[in-house]
Amino acid sequence: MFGSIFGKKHYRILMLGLDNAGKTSILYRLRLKESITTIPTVGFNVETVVLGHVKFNVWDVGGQEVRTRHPLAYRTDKIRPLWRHYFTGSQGLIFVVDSCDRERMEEASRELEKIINDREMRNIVLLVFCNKQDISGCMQPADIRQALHLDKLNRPYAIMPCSALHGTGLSEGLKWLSEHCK
Amino acid sequence: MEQYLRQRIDCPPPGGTRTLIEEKDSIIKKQQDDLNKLQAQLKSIQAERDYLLSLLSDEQKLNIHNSINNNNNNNNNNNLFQQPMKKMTNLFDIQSPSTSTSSSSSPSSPSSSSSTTTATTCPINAYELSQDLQDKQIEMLEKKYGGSLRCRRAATRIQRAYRQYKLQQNFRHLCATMKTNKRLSCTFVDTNNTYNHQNQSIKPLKPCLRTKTTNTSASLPIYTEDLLNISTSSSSSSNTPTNSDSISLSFTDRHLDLPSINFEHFIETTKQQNKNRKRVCIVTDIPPNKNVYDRMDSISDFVDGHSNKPLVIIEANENNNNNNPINSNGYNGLFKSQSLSPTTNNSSYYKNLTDSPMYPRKNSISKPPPPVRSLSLKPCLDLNQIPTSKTSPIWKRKTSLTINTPDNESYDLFLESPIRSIIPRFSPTSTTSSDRDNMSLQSTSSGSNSCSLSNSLDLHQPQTLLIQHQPVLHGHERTSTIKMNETYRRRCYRAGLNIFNKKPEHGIRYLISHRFLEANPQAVARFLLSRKGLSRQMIGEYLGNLQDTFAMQVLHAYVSEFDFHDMPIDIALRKFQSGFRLPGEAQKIEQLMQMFGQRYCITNPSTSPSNIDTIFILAFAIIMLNTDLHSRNIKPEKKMRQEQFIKNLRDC
Repeated sequence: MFGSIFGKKHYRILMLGLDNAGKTSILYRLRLKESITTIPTVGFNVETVVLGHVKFNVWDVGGQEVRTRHPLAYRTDKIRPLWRHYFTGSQGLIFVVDSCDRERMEEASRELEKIINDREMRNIVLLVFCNKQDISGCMQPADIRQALHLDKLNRPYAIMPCSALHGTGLSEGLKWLSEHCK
Repeated sequence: MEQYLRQRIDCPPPGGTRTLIEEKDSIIKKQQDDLNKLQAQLKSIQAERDYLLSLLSDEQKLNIHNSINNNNNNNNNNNLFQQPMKKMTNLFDIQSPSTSTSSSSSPSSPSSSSSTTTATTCPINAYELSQDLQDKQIEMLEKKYGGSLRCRRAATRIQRAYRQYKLQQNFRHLCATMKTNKRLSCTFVDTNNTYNHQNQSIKPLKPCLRTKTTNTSASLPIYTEDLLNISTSSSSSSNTPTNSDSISLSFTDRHLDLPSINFEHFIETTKQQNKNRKRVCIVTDIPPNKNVYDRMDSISDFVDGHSNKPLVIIEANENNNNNNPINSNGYNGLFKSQSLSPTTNNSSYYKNLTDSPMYPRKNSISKPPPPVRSLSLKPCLDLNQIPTSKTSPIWKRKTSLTINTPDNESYDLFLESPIRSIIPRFSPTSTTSSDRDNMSLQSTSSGSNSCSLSNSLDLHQPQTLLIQHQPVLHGHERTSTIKMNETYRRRCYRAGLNIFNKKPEHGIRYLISHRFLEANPQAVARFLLSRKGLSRQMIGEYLGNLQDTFAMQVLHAYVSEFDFHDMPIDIALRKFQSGFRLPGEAQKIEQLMQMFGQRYCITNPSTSPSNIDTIFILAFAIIMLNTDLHSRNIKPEKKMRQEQFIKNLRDC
């Protein structure tokens, strides 16, 4: 806490989730408060978000589970090792869930389990964003907690209902992260 | 004849004073020197032109012919008996090369080429800016100049001032051209009076050009070319200023709908021509038949009311040309191709429409794309207008013709058959050029018309004119409606492109529903690869769309257009990404890299890392490394080292 008085803290945060969960939207919703002045780099979305005295370096890592109906698009789980380098230096993990997509909740659960159980992610702080809360008929955070089997987890975690469209709940989530990251 | 000529030029008789002759000799020598200089200039320019176009061999022959004639004339100057006559021709000949140099000269061709090159590079960059980048730029500029409100106010003020300034400039220019126009018509009278008697078979305006060569040279290829030149010169003499004005005004829209502009231009020129004709009527010697004049004017007025006059005049001209053995073969083909083509080839128009906007991106280096060219022509035309004030506006039209010459010859080949004259339009790059040719030819027709009106009105049969008026009018209306449709479709097409640049999926759907694109992935992929003016970012967004099955198929087709044979993976990756901007989402990148890996393996079956997964992981790692190294959001001390990269890859 005192560190924040003397200087800015830097946290590297990874952002994961299924495709179409709204990761990019959340990232740019957070980011848009500052003026964008640089030409974006070819490659992954990496953005710096400043919240008070804390600087978050958020990586859009994506996830391996991709909804594909096309037979030509096959999936491999082979690039997960590539992310190891980034897993090690990260303090927090944001997992984004599409609250409206009940069918893929199981898929999301599997995905999260894989990441959490990774050797490099043992000490990581988990924040689950339940996105698309603005749509009526979506799953409530309590339901999502059950669906993702978060009860068994023995580490600090938080579930935040949010909406990337309206920007609600995002800064609260980051605040929680800044308080719990080591 | 000789006596008559002597009288005309007020030359001393053969036995006159020696000094006068010497004086004239010196003058002739001077002129010859000038001539030589100009010829040298001309030759250099011709060489340039030949290099550029390799088309004007006929023209060159003509000039050589000219020079030979000149030399002969000057050598024979001692012969006093022939002197006045020779001097006459000499004058012509001097006029012709000098003016031709000024016409085909440096301002036109090099400037046009240079401007095209500059213009080609510029708008590409301008267009490639994606929407958010543009927004960013605006945002930064606004910050720089103190607040958005203030900024906008200033911008509107500047824009208004600039618009006003441009309008004034245009107005001044119009005034100036009107003045020159008046002066021109006066000079015509002089030429008529002096030269008309010398060679009565030739029209009064011809002496400005190479009358000598047309008389002496019997070679046919020169003939048609010359005809064209003469007609253009005559046209330009009567209404070039307006031509150029109308062109410069309509050039901005040219790539949108060419034929309709032609149409407008046609009306404008003919309106102007109407004025000219009246002027000429006043100026020329007493008209043989006053009733004919009155009727002609009344016809033109009547047609003016319906704004369908141009074709009538063409018909009239056709009549006239049928009577005139010199022009009959040259013009009729042109007019028929002009008037018939839109009606007979509806399907071709449709095809032309859908095909023409596809300008291959890869050819842009060798061939500047037409829209750019049309843009760049505007300053070029302005340049052309500068020399005309010095010399004579007669040659202005011709300059524009010489600009067109690369496609001119190919077009000339098709002149005779109206249907085949459309054929060059099918190829996307030649569309505008051929259309531009049409334009010049149209002005040709109108110009020659005015000339013929001043000269050979007694040949006209007003009754036949009136009879032929009706059916042509009908045909023209039809063509104009077709052109309107074409305009509309072109607008739709551009709207589709704009939609694509905002929402790619919607854009593709729109283009397919309007039948600009076939609904198969291959066609769309080719479209994405070749079409200029699409946002690269949006192409990337579209290709990376995981939800849309059709977009995935398009991605597959897109990737299979590439050939990565014998390429290192990084260069292949660069080539792959040259057409679009990689989306930032990890899943999309993954998808694209998988496709890339597949394609790389297919095109390189023999190379050592032939496993698809290996290629895919390596490509993904390269993208990762690129992000790591170049993103400003990553602190320098946290950037990946070489050993870290290798270690990271070892685990895979």
